[in-house]
Amino acid sequence: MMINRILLLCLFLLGFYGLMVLKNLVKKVFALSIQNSAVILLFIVEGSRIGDHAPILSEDQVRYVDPIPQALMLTAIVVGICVTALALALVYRLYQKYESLNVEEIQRKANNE
Amino acid sequence: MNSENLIVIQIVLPLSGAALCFVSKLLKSQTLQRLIDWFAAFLGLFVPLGLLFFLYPAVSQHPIQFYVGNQHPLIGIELRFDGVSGIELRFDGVSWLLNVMGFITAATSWLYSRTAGPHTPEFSALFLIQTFALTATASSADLFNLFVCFEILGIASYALTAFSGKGRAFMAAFSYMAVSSTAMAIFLIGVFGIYRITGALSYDGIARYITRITTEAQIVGLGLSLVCIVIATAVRVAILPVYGWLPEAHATAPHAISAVLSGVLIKVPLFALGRFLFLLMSNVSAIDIVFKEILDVLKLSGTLTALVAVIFALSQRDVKRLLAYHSISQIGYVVSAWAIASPMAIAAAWMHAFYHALFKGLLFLSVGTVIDASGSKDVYTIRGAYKVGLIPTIAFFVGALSISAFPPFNGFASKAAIFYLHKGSWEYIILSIASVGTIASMIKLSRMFIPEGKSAKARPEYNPNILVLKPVTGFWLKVSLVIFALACVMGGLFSKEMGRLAGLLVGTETNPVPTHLFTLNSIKGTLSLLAQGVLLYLFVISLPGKYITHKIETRQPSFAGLLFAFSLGIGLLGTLVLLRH
Amino acid sequence: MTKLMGIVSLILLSAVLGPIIITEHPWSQNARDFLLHNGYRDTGASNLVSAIYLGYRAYDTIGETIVLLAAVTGAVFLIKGFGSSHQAPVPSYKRGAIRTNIISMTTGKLAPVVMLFGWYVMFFGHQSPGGGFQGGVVLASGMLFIALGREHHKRDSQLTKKRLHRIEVLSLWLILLLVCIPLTLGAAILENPLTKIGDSIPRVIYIIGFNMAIGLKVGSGLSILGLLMMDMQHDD
Repeated sequence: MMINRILLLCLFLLGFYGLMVLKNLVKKVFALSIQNSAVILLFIVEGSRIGDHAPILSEDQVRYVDPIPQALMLTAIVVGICVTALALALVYRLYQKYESLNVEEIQRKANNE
Repeated sequence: MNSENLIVIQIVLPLSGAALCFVSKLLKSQTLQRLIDWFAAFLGLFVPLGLLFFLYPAVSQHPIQFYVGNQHPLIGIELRFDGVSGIELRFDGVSWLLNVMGFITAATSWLYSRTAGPHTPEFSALFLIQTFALTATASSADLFNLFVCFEILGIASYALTAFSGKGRAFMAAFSYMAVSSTAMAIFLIGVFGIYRITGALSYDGIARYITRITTEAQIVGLGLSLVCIVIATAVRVAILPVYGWLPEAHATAPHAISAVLSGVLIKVPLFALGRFLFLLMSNVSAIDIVFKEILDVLKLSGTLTALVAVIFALSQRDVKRLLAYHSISQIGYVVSAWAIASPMAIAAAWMHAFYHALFKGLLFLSVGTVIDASGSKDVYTIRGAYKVGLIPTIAFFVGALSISAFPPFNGFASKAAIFYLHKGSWEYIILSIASVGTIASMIKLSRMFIPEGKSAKARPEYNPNILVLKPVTGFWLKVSLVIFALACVMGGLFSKEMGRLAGLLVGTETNPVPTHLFTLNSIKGTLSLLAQGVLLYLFVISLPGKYITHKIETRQPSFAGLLFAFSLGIGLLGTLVLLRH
Repeated sequence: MTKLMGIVSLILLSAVLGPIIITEHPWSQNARDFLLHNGYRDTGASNLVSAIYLGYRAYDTIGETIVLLAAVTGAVFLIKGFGSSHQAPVPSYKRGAIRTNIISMTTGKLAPVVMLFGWYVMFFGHQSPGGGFQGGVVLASGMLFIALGREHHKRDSQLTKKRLHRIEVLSLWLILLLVCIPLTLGAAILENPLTKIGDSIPRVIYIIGFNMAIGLKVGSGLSILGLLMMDMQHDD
C-alpha cells in the first residue's frame, strides 16, 4: 500500500531532521535510532506483500512472505543496537568531561582546549 | 588446500588474532599477556602477508570467484538465486593489491603502537577486527555483505578514534559516527531499491539483470539506488562535499590509528565500490549513461577536493589537522584518477593510494613522536624538533619529500602516473596547483625541525618548556619508522616494476608509470614546482597571508553542517539522474 | 539558520529517496520459491529465515557477531577504561532511588521466567521464530532483571562481570571453531560439514550449534554492557 511507504519516508526524514537540528546529544541518538527503524520497517513491510504467513514451514500449503528481507534486517537491527550503544557511551563520557549535553557548547569548549 | 579456502583463511586470521587478544585480557600475568598479544598480532597481521605470497600465482591469471556457504554446490547456473544460495566472494587482482596495502600499513602502525600508543589488549583486539573488516571488504562481491563489512569497519574505527581519551576525540568520534550511520541507512535504502528491481544481491546477479532492463521507470529507480550507494561510499572516502568529519577524527585519534585511518580506511571503500560499478558497466545496457555521469561527477569532485583541501591545510595551526587535510587532498588525486575507469587508471590510482599510505603513515608517526615529546600540537610554537632523534627527523623528511613528489621517492612516480592520465585537460592544471600547495605546507611543517633562533625567542607564543625536547627511545617506534621510510625509498626506486605489477593484476598490458620518468624535463618540472611552492609559502607567512589563513582556520564545520553537506551531495547526484530521464 | 538548512536537506532527500521508496513495483517471488523448495532439504531448518542467515548467508552473520563484539568492547572500554579518578562520586540519594520495592520484587520474581524463555528462543530457533540473536538479547534482559531484583532477594547472581567475560571469550572461540570445522571434514569453510558424513546425523545440528554459540556470545556481551551501564560504580 502506498500510504505505508509514504509514512515510512516521512519517518526517515523526521529522523534525519532530528539528527541535524536538535541540540541535545541524547535526542540526536534517538533520531539516529528512528532513522534506522524506518529503513528496517521499509524492508519488512515491502517483503511481506507477497504472502500472508510467516516463513516457517508447516504441513498446509500457504503463501509465505519473502524471508530474505527478514534475514537481512536481523543484521541491520543488531548493527543499529551497536551504534546506539557506542553513541551512548560517547555521550556519557562527553557529559562527564564537559558537564553539558548541548552540542554547540561542547564544540565550543572542545575547540578552546 | 585450494585457493578458495586459502582466501577465506586469510580473511579469518585477523579475527582469530582478535580472539587471542581477548584471551590475553583474561590472564593475570603481564608477561604472558604481552606474549599472547604479540602472537595474536603475528597471526593476524604478518601471517596473512605470507599467505598473500602463496595466492599471487593463482590470482595473477584470473580472478577467483566462489560462493561462501553454498549448501548446494551442484546447483546449475540457471537455478542459482544470487544472494540466496550463498554469498559471492571475488578475489581478483585489486583485492590482492588492497590486501598488500592494508596489511603492510596495519602491521607497521601496530608496531609503532607498541612503544607509543595504547598498550591495552582491547586496542589490539579492535585493531585486528578493523584489519579483518579491511580484508573482507577487499574481496566482497555481494551488496549486503558490503554493507556488513562497512559497518564492521565503521564501528571499529569509531571506537579506536575515541581511544586517545581526549574530549575532542569523543566529539570527533560522535560526529563521525552520526554522519556515517546516516550514510549507511541511505546505503540500505539503495540496496532496497536494487533488490526490489533486480531480485538479486550479488554483483553477478545484478549484472545479469541489468542487461535486460527496458523501461524508463526501472532505469530511474536503479539510477537513484546507485546514487544512494555511491554517496554513502563517498562519505567514507571523504571527498567534496562530505569530507567534513575527517579532519577532527584523524587529528584526535592516537597516532597509530591516524596512520591506518588515513592510509587504508579511506581507500578500501573506494576500490570496493569500484568493483561493483565496473562490473556492472562491463555489461552493456541502457543504464551505462547513468554510470558515466556519476563517474564524471566523482572525477570533478575529486579534482576540486585536491585543491580545496590543500588550501585548508595551509591554514591550519594544529599539526595533525594539517596532515589530515592533506589526506583529503591526496584522496582527491586518487578519486580523480579512479573515476576514469580504465584498467590503467585503476592501476595508477592504486599505486598512488599505496604510496600515500606509506608516506602518510610515515608523516603521522614521525610528527606524532614530536607531539608526544613536546606536549604541544601547534606548528608555530614547536621548534628544534630535530632533538627528538635522528631517526624521526630523517623519517619526517623522507615523508615530506615523498608527498611533495621529489625524484627518488615514491610520490614522484605515482603522481607522475596520475598527471600522465590527465594530460592536456583542465584537471591537469588544478592538480598542479594542488601540488604547489602541498610543497608549501610541507615547508611549513618542516619549520618545526629547524633549531630555534633569536627571532623565535622574541615572539609572544614562545614557551620555553616546549623547547626542552629529549631524544625519544623506543625500539619498535624506530623500527616502524625505518620500515616505512625504506618502503618509501624502495617504492620510488622500483616504481616501474611496481607499476607493471599493478597493471598486470588489474588487467592491462600498459604500465601506468610513464616510461620516461627520470628525464631532464621532469626534473625541471619538479624544480619549478618547488620554486612556486616556496613563493606560496612566503606569501602565506606574510601579513595578508596570515590574515586569510586565520579567517579560514577559525571556520569549523558544525555538526548540522556535516549533514547538510551530505544532503547537498545526494541532491546533486540525484537531480542529475532525474533530470536526464 | 540550522532549521533552514534542515528544511532544505529534507527537500533534497525526499526528491532523491521518494522515487525509490514510493513507486509501485512488484516484489519478485523467486527467492521465496527457491527457499520453499530447497531450504528444508539443504539445512534441516523449518524456519526459513534461520536457514538463510545461518545456512546460506552465514558469512554475514559472522560479520554481524563481530560488529557486536567490537561495539561491546569499545563501549565497555569507554565507560570503564580511562581511570576512576575522572568520576564524580555518585550522591547517596541516587543509589537507591531508581529501584523501588515494586521494581525489585517483580523483576526478581520474573527473572527465572525470562531466562527460561531466553534459553527456549535460543535453542528452538530453527523451528520457531527466534535464534541466536533474539535468544541472546532475552538472556541479557534476564540477567538485568536479576540485577534489578537483587535488593529484594538480598542476593546477587553468581555470574559476575568477570565470569560473563569468560563466557563471552569462550563462545567467540566456539564460533571460530564452528567456522573452521568444515575444513577438517573436507568441506569448504562455512559449508555444513554434516553433508559429507552422510544422512546418519541430522544436518540441523550445525545450525543449532551456531545458535547456541551466538546466543551465548550476544547474551554475555549485552549483559556486561547493561550491568556496567546500570551500576554507577566501576569497581571491577
